[in-house]
Amino acid sequence: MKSFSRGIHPQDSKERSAAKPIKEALSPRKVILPLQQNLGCPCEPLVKVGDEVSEGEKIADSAAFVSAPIHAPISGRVTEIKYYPNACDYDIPSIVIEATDAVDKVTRPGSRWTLEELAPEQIRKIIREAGLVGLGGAAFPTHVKLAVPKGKTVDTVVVNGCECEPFITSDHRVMVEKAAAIILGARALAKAVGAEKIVVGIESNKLDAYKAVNFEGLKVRGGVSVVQVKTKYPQGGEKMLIKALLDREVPSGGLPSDVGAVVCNVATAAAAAEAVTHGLPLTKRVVTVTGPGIKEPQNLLVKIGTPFAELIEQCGGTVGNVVKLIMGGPMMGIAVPTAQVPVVKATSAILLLTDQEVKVEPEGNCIRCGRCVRSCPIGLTPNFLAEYAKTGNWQGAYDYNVIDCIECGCCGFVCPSRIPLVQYFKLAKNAVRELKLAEKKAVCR
Amino acid sequence: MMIFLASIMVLGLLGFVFAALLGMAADHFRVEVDPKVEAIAAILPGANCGACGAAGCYNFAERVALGEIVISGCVVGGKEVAEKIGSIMGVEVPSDYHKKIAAVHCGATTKDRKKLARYEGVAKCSAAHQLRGGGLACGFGCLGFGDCFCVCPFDAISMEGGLPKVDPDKCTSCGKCVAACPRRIISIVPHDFGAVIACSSKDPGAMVRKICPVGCIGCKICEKAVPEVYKVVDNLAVIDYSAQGVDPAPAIAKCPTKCIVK
Repeated sequence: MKSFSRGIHPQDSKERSAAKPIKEALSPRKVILPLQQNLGCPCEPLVKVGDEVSEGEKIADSAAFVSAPIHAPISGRVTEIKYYPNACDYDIPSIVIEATDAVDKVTRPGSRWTLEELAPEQIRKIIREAGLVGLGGAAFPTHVKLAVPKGKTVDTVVVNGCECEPFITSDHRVMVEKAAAIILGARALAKAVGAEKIVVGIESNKLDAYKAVNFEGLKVRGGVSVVQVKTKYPQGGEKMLIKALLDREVPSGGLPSDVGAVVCNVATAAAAAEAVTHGLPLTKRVVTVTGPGIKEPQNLLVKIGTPFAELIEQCGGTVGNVVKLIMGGPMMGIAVPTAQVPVVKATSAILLLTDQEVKVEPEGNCIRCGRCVRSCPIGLTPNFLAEYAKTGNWQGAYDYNVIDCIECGCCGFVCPSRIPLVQYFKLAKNAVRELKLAEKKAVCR
Repeated sequence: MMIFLASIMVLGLLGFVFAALLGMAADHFRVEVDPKVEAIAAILPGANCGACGAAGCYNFAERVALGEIVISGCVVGGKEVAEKIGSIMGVEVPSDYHKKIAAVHCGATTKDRKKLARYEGVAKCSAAHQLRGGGLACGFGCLGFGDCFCVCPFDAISMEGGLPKVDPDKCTSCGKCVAACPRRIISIVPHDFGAVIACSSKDPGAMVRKICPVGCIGCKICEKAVPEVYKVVDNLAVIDYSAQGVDPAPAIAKCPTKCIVK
């Protein structure tokens, strides 16, 4: 079975919610929408306090290229535009909308189209206007991926159905229930970048998803192949998936487009299909509410902006002594300090861990066992990088390519000394970026 | 016996020849050095901290001798060294010379800080600052892991109750702690001014009251008491250190949260 080298095999813990069909969550009375929900630039609000907005209306946008607009998930009145705690810790205000009892009306940014009548340029525009970002967790604006730089050609669209993070099953359920939309969305993306081939990679622990997507893929004559890949973490990292499916290696500091590929998540593809064929903006997404600390784990179709607390309540509340609330999975997720933070476009799961799972052990010294080196899917040397980060040797960290770290957490997972390696690398990455910026300024002065 | 004599003579002769060559070379390739540079370099503290802006103490001495840097440029040496350099250069130390030290603009000790979450990551301020401020409710104040304490080359900072305390006798205002603090709550101020705002929070007063007992609430009482010195900008009092000769003390007593300290 196809795969990449190194990586780890954590317990996948997906049995809690893998068989639960997607259920629509109750519409919230109040939504909180941070003005930055994507990598890149924050948005500027297009509404003011007191304005009436209808579902699907664009309420925030940015003139910057690497950004995606935000749409109102519910109809109601804008009551506040001020700072609220958010999961990504962006220090930016949020738009708060409170539902009014008026009849819900839905605004569509565009009309219904069929794929054949759209030009690639139009598809990119529709996807941008729909506020589409990568729904796998990084939230990179999709239209930016689709704008292939001059001089590069993309021949393959890779659709990422790996969902290698333990606990999360939202993509799994999307593949089982919306397979047709995924294939249609992938075809739209392929048309937008001018690619002939579509390859869907699905991990071998999701056989039902593979069958469903393969069935839909076979309906399209030619061009679409659905491939099973090995269940291994981080199989869903785009560089790993390109290596596994196409046997191409993304160069250091490069992008998938350097090797002729564009990678998108299955949920993003399904959302792209909705945007293109129905003109619907991205205002809801599937979120897995799971973990040992939740009574009834579920896959919920949630309006963006719903506070975590409401979803936890709809899943029967908590059990045991919950000590950790994580947005995303246990490997790459972000710990959040309060359940009042809202669901954003990047929220693939809400994970509740109890004191039984969370054990904090003190950081020990590096014993030079080399397990981190053997597990790093990128092929870095985390042992040296950690040493450089600890001592503040940013040039050393740069020379050992800390910038290429994808923060997957494999090294920290296997470290017998429990060194919080990824946190050190995040520190080093920011410091290296600042250092290089300062050097550039000194040269350009 | 002969072999000893022969080797001593040969080696001795070689020694004389090389000594003569080296002597001639030293004379021929001699670099003219301003004697003032050597004299200034000898009295500098030799910490090579870089706080003067020069690349080390010797470079500082060279640039002072050339007149590129003022004689009071060495922040570590202070007035004493400035006077000595002045006597070498034949220049008087300016009368408005003030010793500067690092001041911490936060007064909340560990027990004063309200926490939203438990932080279990890397025990460094820089790391905690990246990870939602180590779970602290205040987004501006001291994190208490002592990055400034670790970086101080003069051992002038001690951590007391999770808050850095600057020893004015040891502090040389080299500015390393200013650069090390990820929250930018340390700054270099004139030591004899007699007032420091021990808060950096730009949150509105009502919010500060909820999360910190010693935070600046932006009430403007200090501004009314001594308007020449204090000004409230963005809910935070700031001191105009150029207002020398004005007594800032009346506001210290009036501050309701006692966030102005000496």
